[in-house]
Amino acid sequence: MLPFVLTVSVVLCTGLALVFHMILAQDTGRADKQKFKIGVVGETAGSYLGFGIQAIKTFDSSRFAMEMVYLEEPDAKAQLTDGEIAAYVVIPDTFVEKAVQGEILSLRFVSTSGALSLNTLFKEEITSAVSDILSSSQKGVYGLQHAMQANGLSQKAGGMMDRLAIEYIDFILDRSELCRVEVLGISDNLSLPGYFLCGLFTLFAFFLNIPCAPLLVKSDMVFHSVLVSKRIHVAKQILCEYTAFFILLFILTAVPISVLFLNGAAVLELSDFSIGMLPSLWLRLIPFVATVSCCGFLLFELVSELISGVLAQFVVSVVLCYIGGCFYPMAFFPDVMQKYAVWLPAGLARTYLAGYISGEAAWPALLGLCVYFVIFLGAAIAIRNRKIRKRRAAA
Amino acid sequence: MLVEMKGIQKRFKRKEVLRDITFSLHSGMCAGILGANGCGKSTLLSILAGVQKPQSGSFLCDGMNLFKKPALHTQLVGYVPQGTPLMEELTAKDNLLLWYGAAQMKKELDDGVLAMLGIHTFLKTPVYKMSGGMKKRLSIGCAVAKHPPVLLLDEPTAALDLVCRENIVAYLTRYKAQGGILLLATHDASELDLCDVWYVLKDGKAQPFAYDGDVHALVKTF
Repeated sequence: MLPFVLTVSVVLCTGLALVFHMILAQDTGRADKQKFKIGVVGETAGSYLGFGIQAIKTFDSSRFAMEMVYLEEPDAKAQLTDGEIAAYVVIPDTFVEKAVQGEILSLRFVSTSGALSLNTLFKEEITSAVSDILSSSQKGVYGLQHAMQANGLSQKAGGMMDRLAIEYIDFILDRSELCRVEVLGISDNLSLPGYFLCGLFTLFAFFLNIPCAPLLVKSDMVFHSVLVSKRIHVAKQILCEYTAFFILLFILTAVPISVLFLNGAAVLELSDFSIGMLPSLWLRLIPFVATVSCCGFLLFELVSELISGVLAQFVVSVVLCYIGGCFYPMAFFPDVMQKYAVWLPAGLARTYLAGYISGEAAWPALLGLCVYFVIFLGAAIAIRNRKIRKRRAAA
Repeated sequence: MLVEMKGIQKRFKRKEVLRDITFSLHSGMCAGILGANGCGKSTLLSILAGVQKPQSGSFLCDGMNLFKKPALHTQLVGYVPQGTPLMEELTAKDNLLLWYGAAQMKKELDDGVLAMLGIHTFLKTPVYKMSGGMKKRLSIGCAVAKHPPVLLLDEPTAALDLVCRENIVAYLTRYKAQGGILLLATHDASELDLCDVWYVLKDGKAQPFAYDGDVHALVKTF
C-alpha cells in the first residue's frame, strides 16, 4: 500500500508545483511587461501638484512604466488589495504649502510586497536619483575649486568647498526623507507568490489524506473488537493508528516543503531561506500536519467504504481550502465570510504557514490548530466507540 | 480447570437479549451454543470474550471472576469472532507478528499450532488475497497465540469448503484432547458432533439439549 501512497503523493506534488510555477511565471510576466498603475491620494487639488503630476504623466520617461490615477484612500486600499493598482501615494494636506516655504513633507507610499514589484523599481529610481545628484555635486565642488584656483582665490577655496558640500549633503538628506514606504501585502503581509505558496501547500497537505484511504477506511470493526477483548481499548487503538498515520504524512509533507523552500528564491519571503533553517521549519510543520492529518483521520473514521472515504476527503478538502482562502486571496470573499473562514481548519493552517514564512509567531492560528486537533481526535475516539457498540448490538 | 457462567444478563435498550445464562464446563469439554439467527449467540460469546459488558453475571475460572480480572481474562481466553479479525493489507506473517514473538512464531510454524493449521503454506499472502478458509485458519492461529485454555469460536467453519472445514475440526478436536475448553456458536452438523454438551438459546435463556444426530429434532426447539 505504501508504494501507492507514495506514487499518488508524487503526482499530487508535481501537479501543485506546476500550478505554483504558472502563478510565479504569471506574476513575473506581469511585473516585467505591464504598466504599473499608481493611485494618488490626499491633497491633489493644488495647481502646482497637478502640473507636476501631469508633467510626469506626459513628459517623464516613467510614463512608459507608470500610470497615475486620482483616488480616495479607502478606494485605493481596496483596489490595491484586489490587485487593480500596484501602489498608492498619499500626499499630505499641506504638502504644496510647505514645499513653497522650503519644507518638504514626507509622502506615504503604500504597496504590496513582491520580488519584482514596484518597490524594486521605486528603490532603483531613488538610487538613480541619488547617484545623479552625487555625481553632479561632485562636479560642482571640483568645478568651484578649479575656478577659485584659476582666479587666485585658493586660500578661500577650502571653506567655500566645505559649505557647498554641506549644501549638497543637506539636499540629498532632505530628498531621502521625501518618501516613506509602507508594505500592505496581499494578505497576511505576504507577496502574491508567498500567499499562493501557503495556499497551495495547505491544499496539498489536505489532498495527501486521499491516497491513505485504503490504509484507514475500515469496512467492519471485527479486528478492533478483538483488540478491545485483548484490553487494547479504543483510545489506545486510535492513538496508535493516528501516530503511524501522522509520521507517514509528516514525511510526505516535510520532504516537498523542504525542497520547495530551499529552491524558493523567486518568492520574496524565502529569498533568505537556508538549509540551516530546515529544523525550525520541520518543528513548525508539526502542528500544521497534525491538524490536517487528524481532520483526514476523522473523515476516514466516519465512513465505512473506500469510495465514500475518497469522495468525502476530496470534497471536504476542496471546500475547506476554497473557503479558507487557499485558491484566492481572502479579500476576494465577502467580509462576513472572511471573518469566519479564517477560523476553519484550512484557513488556520494556511495562516499558520504564512506566519512562518513572514517571520511572525501566528499564536492565534497555532492555538486554533491545537483546539481542532483535540476535537478531531476526540471525535474519532467517540465515533469508533459508537461503531464498535453498534456492531455489538447487531451481533 | 472449571469454567462457570453464572446469571449472565444483557439488555440493549428495552430488548433483553440474554437472561440468566448459567452453565459450566470442565477441561477437555466442548459446548455448542445453538439457536435461530439473532437469538444472542454472538452476543453471549462477545460478552465472554470481554468485548462488551453484561448488565449482570459472572464468568468464573476456577472460582476467579474473569470479568473483574482483565489481565487474567486476556491470558486465559481466546476469541475467534465472525468475520475477519485481521489487518487486510498485511500478510499472514505480519498479522501473526501482531500476536506472536518472532521466535515463538517460528517454533509454532515448524511444529506447533500454526503448522497444524497449515498457515506456513500462505505465510507471505496478504489477507485481502486469501480465501475464506485461509482467513479463518489465520484468525484461529492469532487467537491461540498465548495458548489460552478457553477458546470461544463464533461459527468457525461457516461458508468454508470441506477441506478447510475438516482441517479446522481436526485442530479443534486436538485442542480439546489436550485439555482445552471450547465454546462454539454454531449451525454446522460437523461442529455439533464435536460438542459434549449443547445449549439452545431461546427468548434469552439457555436450555440444555441432548443432541443425538437428529438435526430436525434440534431445529424444532428453535
